[in-house]
Amino acid sequence: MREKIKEVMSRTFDIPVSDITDDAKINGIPNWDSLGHMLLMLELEAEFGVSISTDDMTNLLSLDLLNAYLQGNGLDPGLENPARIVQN
Amino acid sequence: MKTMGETPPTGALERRRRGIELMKTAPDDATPIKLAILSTFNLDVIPPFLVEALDRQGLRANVWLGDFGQIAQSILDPKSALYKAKPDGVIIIPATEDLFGSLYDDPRKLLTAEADVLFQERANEIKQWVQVILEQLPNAVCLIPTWKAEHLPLEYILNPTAPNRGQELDDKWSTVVCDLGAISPRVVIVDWANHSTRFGIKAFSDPRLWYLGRMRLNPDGLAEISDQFAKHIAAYRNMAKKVAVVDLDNTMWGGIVGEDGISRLILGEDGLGLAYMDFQCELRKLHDAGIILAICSKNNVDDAWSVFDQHEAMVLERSHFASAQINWQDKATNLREISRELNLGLDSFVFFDDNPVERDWIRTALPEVEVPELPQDPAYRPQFLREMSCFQRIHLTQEDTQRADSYKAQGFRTQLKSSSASLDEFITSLDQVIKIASVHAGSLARAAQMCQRTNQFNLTTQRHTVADLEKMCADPNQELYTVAVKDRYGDSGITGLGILRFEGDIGHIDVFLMSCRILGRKIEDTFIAFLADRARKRDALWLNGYFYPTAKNGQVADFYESHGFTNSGNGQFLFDLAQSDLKYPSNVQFEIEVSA
Repeated sequence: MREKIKEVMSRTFDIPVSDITDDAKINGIPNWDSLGHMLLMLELEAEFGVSISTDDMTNLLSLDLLNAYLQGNGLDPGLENPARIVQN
Repeated sequence: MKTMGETPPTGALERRRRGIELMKTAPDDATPIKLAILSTFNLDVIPPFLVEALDRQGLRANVWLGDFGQIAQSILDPKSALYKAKPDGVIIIPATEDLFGSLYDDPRKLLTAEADVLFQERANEIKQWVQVILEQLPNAVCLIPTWKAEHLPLEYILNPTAPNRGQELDDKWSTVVCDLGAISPRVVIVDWANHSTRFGIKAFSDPRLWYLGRMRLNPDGLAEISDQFAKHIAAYRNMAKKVAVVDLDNTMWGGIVGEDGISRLILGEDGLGLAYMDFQCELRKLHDAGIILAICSKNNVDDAWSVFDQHEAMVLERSHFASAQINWQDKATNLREISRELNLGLDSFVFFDDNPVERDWIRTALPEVEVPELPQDPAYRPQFLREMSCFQRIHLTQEDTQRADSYKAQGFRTQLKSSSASLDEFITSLDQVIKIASVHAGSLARAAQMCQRTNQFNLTTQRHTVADLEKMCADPNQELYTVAVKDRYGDSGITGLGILRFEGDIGHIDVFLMSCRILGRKIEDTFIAFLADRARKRDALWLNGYFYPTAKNGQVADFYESHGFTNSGNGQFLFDLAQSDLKYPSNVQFEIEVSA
């Protein structure tokens, strides 16, 4: 799962998979800014056939959180969550 | 540039990724178009979508993006980053929800004078924006979409004419935007309101993207609106194809005439027969809009024509076609023959054939021909044709509507040419009347269109726009002339342009071009003799002609030398007006209309 997510990130952010570390999070790798995050959410929805709620979108801000979420575990409260993004 | 054999992706997110790849590769040939985007909402992610959509039209683009909500500041400040970007095109995207936010938030205001005042302010404002852009960027095109909001101010009231429902707001706004198109030919209106309504506004937006990113369009909407802009830009640049070549069996009608016989062909009011009739009807509309129709079919020629002559449901007649290759030769050979007969390059051809093998063969043998993937199911074909962008233009000119007739006559002329004993007899037999006239407001658009489109008989290939020509007309040292030709077969309309610029005792021929369909008829001889006359009237001693070689204008490389000019190097050719004379051909009549 983690590798698959990295692939989606790689093509969304137009960076090599090798640049995406296991601890990747928003604003931590190139092009993963707030708008890049929107696109990542849409790419993941298309890839995994899921629908992500707006609230979850604002919380799924690290590879760890995404990994747990897409494995069906929802938002893992045990994982560190970068600050919520509020746009505009 | 379009790469042969590659099928572009259909998914919006894939298209965005393709756009990102395109943005990384340097353009291989043409200079990219610089586009600037100004909008009332967040479009930060649109550049790759736009680059990708333009690539599908064979165009390269660089995109400059203004901060959203800063339209007025960008346009009204002459020192703004917008003008520093020196764009070739400015796209202004105002959403009505943003322009009339207070009315959306409080529809009661729709019942007050405040609504009218706000509307009038917005209408004046956008008109001012457009005028400032046209002035600040004298060569740029300005593209503005009409808009359909994703929701109405007051959806709870169902009566469509209730003032506070606000349904009329978008329509009224569309009228304001459409009227901007009358300001200048450089303003191009993109009817996004109509387009998005037909395809589904909701499918083009995503409330999550609005609340988290102030984006009014989702990737599907971004891809779709980018396609619309790209199609309009291509049309503005006159990239439309000129010739539609169609197969017959299973393309114009269902079945094979040589095997099934006329009576068993699928063509008529019943069932799928109507789809074939509609397909023909669309082809006829193309014909009437100036697209040349030609037939390329593997058939016995008598079988094929018998359908035209005898089948009652045929929409198209023999006379709609300027050329027909009906035989058993391979279709690439036939397309080359049609191209020779019409004197039009294969790169202006679109080839319609139901047979995927034939399509692939043409793509391989003649990659310059556009070969659309005609849907397998005939029911989808009329719609497919209607939505093809390669025939789209912004306006229909009078020459466009006459063109098909003119090319049909070209076919007859070619036949006559082979039966006339000498070229002179042939030219005399055409009874041609050439009209040379100063360029005026009514012929500016056509003159610019020829600058953009003429490749072969074009000595200098200067791609002047309407704005450029307008400036030249105002310059007392320049004279601009068009040539129109009539003969016993029809009226070709304006088909040539010459521009003289006087400097001291020299008349420079900055532009000399003609449509290929009127060549070889001494029209060019008449025209150059006329320009020499004009130069003499201005007391010039010399004519200075230029030839700038391109991949396509080789046929005119020796034009000046064959007309008595002396090669003075660097693509320049001098003619001594005092010593010699350019003669008008004796068998060509001409009329002259020179403005004071």
